[in-house]
Amino acid sequence: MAPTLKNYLQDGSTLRSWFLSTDHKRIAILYLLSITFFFMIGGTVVGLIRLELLSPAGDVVSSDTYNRLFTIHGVIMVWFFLIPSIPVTLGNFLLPLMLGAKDLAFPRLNLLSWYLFIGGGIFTLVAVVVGGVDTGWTFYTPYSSTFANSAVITVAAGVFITGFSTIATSINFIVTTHTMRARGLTWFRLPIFVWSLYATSIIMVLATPVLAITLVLLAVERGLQIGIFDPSLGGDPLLFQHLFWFYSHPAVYIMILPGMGVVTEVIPCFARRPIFGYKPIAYSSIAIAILGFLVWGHHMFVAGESIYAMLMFSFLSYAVAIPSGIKIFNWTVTLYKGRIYMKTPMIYALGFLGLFTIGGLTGLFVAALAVDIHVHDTYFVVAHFHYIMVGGMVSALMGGLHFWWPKMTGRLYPEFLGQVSAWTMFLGFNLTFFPQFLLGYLGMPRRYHTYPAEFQVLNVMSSLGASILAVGYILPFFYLVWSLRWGKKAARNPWRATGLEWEYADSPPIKTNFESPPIVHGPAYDYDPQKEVNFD
Amino acid sequence: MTERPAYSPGLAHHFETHAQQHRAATLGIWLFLGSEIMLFGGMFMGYTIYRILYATAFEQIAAHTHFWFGTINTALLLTSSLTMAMAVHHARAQNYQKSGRWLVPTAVLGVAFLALKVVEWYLEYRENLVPILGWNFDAHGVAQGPARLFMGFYFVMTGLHAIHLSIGVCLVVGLMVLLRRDKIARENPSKVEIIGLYWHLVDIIWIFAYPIFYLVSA
Amino acid sequence: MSPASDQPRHAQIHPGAEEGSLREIVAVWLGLIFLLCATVIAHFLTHGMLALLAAFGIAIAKMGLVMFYYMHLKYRPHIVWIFSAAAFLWLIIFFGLSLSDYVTRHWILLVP
Repeated sequence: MAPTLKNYLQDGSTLRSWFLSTDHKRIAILYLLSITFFFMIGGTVVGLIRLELLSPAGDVVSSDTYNRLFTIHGVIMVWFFLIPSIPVTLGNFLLPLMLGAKDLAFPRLNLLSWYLFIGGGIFTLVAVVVGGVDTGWTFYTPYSSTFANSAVITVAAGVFITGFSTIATSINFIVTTHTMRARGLTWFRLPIFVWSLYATSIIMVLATPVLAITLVLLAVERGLQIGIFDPSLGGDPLLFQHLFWFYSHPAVYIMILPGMGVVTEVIPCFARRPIFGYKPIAYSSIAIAILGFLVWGHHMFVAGESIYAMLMFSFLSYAVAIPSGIKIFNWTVTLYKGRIYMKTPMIYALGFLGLFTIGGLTGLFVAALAVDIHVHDTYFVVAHFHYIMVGGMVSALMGGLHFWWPKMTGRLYPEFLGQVSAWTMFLGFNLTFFPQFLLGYLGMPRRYHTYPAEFQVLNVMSSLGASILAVGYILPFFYLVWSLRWGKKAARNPWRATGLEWEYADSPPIKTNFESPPIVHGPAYDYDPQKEVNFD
Repeated sequence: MTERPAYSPGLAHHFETHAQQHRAATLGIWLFLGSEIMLFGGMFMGYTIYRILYATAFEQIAAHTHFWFGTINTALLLTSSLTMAMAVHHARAQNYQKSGRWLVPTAVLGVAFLALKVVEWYLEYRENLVPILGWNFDAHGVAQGPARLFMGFYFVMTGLHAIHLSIGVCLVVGLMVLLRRDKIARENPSKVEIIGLYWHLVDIIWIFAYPIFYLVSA
Repeated sequence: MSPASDQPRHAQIHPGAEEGSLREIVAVWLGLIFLLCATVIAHFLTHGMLALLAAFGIAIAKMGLVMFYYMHLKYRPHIVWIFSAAAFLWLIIFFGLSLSDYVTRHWILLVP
């Protein structure tokens, strides 16, 4: 009898075997450690921000320092945490497994993408050390190109390099999905998580290069004093905004689509029902990817666009909400007459449902021209996007991490602590961000560290919420690490879930994923609510 | 299902067949080329906006680009695509000797392009047409602002193109080394084809850069 | 497409990796040089909108020749055509919606 094959964690324990590994699973773990590190930095920065905002006066930090704090918070959270988050961790780990493949199409490119990510991160951290950047994560010209007295080019370089990491990952995902599916695995038998990664990758490969060229033009204007956006030369600062937002709006769909994919895996499993409306959800992912490219002008409603362009962008912004709405309906209907198990991943997924709905609906508020004139650049917008990115995407990341933890590590996390953290996160999140909707509507601008005294109560609530939210994130860090050594060992399929990664790969998988290539015989999500399930 | 050979030269371990591997390489390189098109496209977009806003000034200042440099460079690059296509053709027929020989003129033509470009930039420097670092800029009677914008775009775009072409030349030279040392697997000459695709894209970018900088004037 | 046995060995091992003949390669080059001459002549003989259309039309034709023949699109399955067209489509979106701002900026609002 053949000796049991070592799993991917045991197969090589030297530094070289980890840092030069082309195994997608090991690269996913490297990425997981990296984005956790950046999340902590971005989170610590926000701690300082919320501390400052406890009182109306600017007494904790100077306004210049405050500018640098919110800028670096945005830069790190967007480019070094959220955009990579689910794709590079869960996506890298699971895509080949879900497709029945041995690895991604280009394993060495995958490793290169991690090094590019780290390289870009180092540039950005160096910039932080030498004093940071004070332009806001949006780098608007002419302040950033001409007047800012901070490390703009360094941070721009860091983001530029990381952008190529994103492009590399997306090329890998698209090609793998097209060419390496198992026998019998047609497109409409794929898990929806694969569809969402595919749609995300389309956005990544088409939008990120535009960010790259925008940063190049910014650096060239700043460093070589070549006028491109310079108004004194007849240049148009709004051109920068068009270039920047052409990427950055689709980027927000990069920062939600994978989360939607995770939710679409978790809900059917813990409602024991196939996802309602498989094809509409699959198509809506692609629709979001495409429509998401048509709406960027809604970030520029008060910047000086033509009114006709504004009308078009506003209309298109309503259109892009429709596919998301379809998903919300389908997830909700999947719960109907299901057999619901409130395990930790399900709590996160249901939290996603509520929080993303609020975030998405408030998006419609700001898409209305008249409303946006009032709430643009206020805390209303801040609350809107945090509901989606933190309430939505981060919840989905946590849910996905818990759901696939047994597969990735071979251990079960402690369920009670998992549920405590999920609820803590949910309550802390709402306490942090709901008051910000009110603050914004009442007129408190964003990016200010002083405010009129009448806003203090809401700000204190928000800061209190932030500290509870922090507990909700720190707890899992500790018990997940604890579980690696002392957690109960996981069986191959502790959740009795469907999917090639659960049915045919071990927990954790061997290096080549499957002992023999799996063959798929039927549709995904073959769940039956009539059967009671005993989870391990 | 085709039995996967236990060892097949040039077939990576995670692929089942050569056809699958080639298909993946083809899709992969085209996606990368698509990203390059978006990269340059951003600059073309910026140029177009200013061309529309400052049509007259652009036409006037564009008269100061060096038409024959640009035209000869275009001819050089188009011919380098010919030689590259020849190299790819022979590689796929597994005539690696002939393939390597056609790579030589490809690299030479690329270097010739770059040499002419550098000379051209130097001429523009001598004519005070370089709007960087506060250098003296002589708009030759055209409105200062738009003239500087045009020349700014000219240098950034031809500069970025030259960087891409230089990378291409390095890749071609690297290929020549690999071919000389017999390191291209018999069954998988895709490397030559993939680098060929990159080379042709750099050519295509120039095909569009040429009219917007050299064919503008009235 | 010619029968598999006519194809060079490479294409026999990798079905879907066919390409054109040496004659085709040279013919395309002649076409490209011809188009270059045409664009030079057009530059000296035309003005204004006609010059613009001529220059871009010829550029697109050159690009078409390079993509279709040198980059083997003619011999690849249609999925590759979609991949190659995607970026151009996206550029059209980018150009179109951005220009919609610039072109209409100074229009007067219809409602007084």
